[in-house]
Amino acid sequence: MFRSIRWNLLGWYAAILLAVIAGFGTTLYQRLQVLRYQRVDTELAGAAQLIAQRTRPPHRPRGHGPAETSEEQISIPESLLQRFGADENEAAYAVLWQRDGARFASAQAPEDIPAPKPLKKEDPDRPRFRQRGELREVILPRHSGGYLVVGRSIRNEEEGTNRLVWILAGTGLGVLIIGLAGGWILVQRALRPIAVMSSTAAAISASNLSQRIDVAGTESELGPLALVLNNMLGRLEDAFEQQKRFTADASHELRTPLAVICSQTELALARERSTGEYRQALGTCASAAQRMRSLVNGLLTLARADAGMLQLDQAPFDLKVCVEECAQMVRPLAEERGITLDLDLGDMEWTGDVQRIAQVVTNLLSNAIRYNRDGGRVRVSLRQADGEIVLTVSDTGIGIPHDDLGSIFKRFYRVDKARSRDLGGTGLGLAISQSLIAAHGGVIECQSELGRGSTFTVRLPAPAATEEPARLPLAVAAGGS
Amino acid sequence: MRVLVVEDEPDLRRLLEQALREESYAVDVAADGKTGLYKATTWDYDAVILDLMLPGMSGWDVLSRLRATKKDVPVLILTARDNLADRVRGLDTGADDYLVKPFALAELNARLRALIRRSAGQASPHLAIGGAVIDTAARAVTRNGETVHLTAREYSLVEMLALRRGQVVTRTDLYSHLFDEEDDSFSNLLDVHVSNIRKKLGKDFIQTRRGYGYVIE
Repeated sequence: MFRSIRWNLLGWYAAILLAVIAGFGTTLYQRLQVLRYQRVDTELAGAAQLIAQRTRPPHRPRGHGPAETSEEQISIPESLLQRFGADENEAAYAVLWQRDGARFASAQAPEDIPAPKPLKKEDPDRPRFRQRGELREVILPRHSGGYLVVGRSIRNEEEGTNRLVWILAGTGLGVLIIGLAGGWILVQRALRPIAVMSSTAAAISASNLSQRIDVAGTESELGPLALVLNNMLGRLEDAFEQQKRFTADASHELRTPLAVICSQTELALARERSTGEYRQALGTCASAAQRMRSLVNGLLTLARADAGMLQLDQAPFDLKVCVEECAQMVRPLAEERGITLDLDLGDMEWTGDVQRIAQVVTNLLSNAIRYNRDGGRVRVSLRQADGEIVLTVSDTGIGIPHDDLGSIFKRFYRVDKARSRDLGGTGLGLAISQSLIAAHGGVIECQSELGRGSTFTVRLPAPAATEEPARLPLAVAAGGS
Repeated sequence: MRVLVVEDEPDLRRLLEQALREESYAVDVAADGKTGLYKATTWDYDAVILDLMLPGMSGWDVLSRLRATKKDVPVLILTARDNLADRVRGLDTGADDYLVKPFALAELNARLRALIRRSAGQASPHLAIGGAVIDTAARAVTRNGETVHLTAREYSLVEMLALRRGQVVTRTDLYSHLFDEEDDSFSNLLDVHVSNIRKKLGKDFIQTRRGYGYVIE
């Protein structure tokens, strides 16, 4: 709990507030203390001057010996006593020392006042001060030598200072408490949108991804965060939606041949049949099973590619031979419909998984034949350009509507559902091709003109790139091992 | 009984057709939504089996347009879409039943029989007429406890008239419900069937309303 932003912020806030209060209080205390001592010192100095004037002997008989014979009297004028206050705590006293250090006059002074330490150079106009416990004293050097010391207790001031310390501490504590309470409220206010956002986000699960965080309610810096979260939710929703659609499509595609097998077997077993009928029933089941097998294989390939677990058997092979073999395989399909296969292939040594590449080429070729017009033409070219190998397969077929062009590599996407189903496509061919080419570090693209034909272009990294192991597009294969 | 099968998968379409024919239904087929809708609105069927994922026009559209034409033919949706939302939507669009692929032919047949029976206002699979009892589930007729052997078409004729007991069914109606597009039999075949049924179930089992049609009272 104390690691939360709330407590962290509050902690820092408290520390800063405490530092400010302490700094302010200390400065104030020191300043007041100085001022108070200055006042006391000024008072004492004034009193000392006054007393010094009073104690100067008014007349000294001429020719009579030195000053030691004369008795000086010291007294503190009534006005001063008044000013200092009769209070015992502020009672003033005065002591007069002679040059030889003997104390010879005092007024209201205790006996134990130590004599001032003489300085090398005494300036009678510059009094100095000293502090003895609760007593503050001014030491005034006399022209005649010796010192006049006037002092008073500063217990009242000390008590005032103590009171001030308590008041300052109390006020500081109060300010700190009020400040912390205010800080707590501020932190709560600042964090409330985050709490709202997080509770909204927590309430959003896979089943209700269409919910969004209310952006209107979030102010300032949190607005962009809410937007970012909302965008992320949008992408998540799309991904989930895509996954759901894919699962539904896959289940639909698998259920249909399964339904054929189930009903065919049930029907065939319902009564005694002729050999021909059994043969036909088995044929129907076999073709349905074949379709399921190719679907399952396709789904497995895609799932592996998605999980980065596609195993590629990398080995050098001749792309030209590979394409020729594929063309040979689909040639009967083309001849059936009077379609010409034009091959324009250059020799091309390449390293990759020959089976997978052949799968892609066969898929493109059979698509080009399947969606061609009778008596049409399929051109296949293989060349090297700009550091990449370019394989193009173009047909003179029905073409792909512009709106569908972006979706043809999507799983189970069919431009014309009727035609594809009758032609036996699984709806996965191009999606698989794209995955396989991507696993080889290449790209596959399509241009098409409706009614004129389509061109599929496969771009693979040139052999030079594949000779360096570091640049081998092995990322997918490596993920699986 | 005449049934329309709207299904785009060629193998499944052929299978359904064969299976239903073996159950003595007259069967028409359609490979896409448009043809399906056209046939369903043009002829009177006793039931329509409808796939949802159809090329051209989806099964949903076929169904809602069919219902818009006030055709009250029972529709059974037969689809690979198995989620709850689809099933609810299918029934709410006007389908009478919903069966998910893969399915058992036995269940499809039973549901079809129930649909046809219900749409004729009959709850019980057994129809008793005089001393005769028609078991629509077993497609068999007994008379005074003894099994009467009827050909498939004779049975269909009896069942159809029995389901509409008391109503005069025109020859045209009978003809259109007993024969499908592929039958090219002449309508006088009806008279032959009726005469055979009378031989097996009694002279007055089916009565002729001259100029109108037939009725089982």
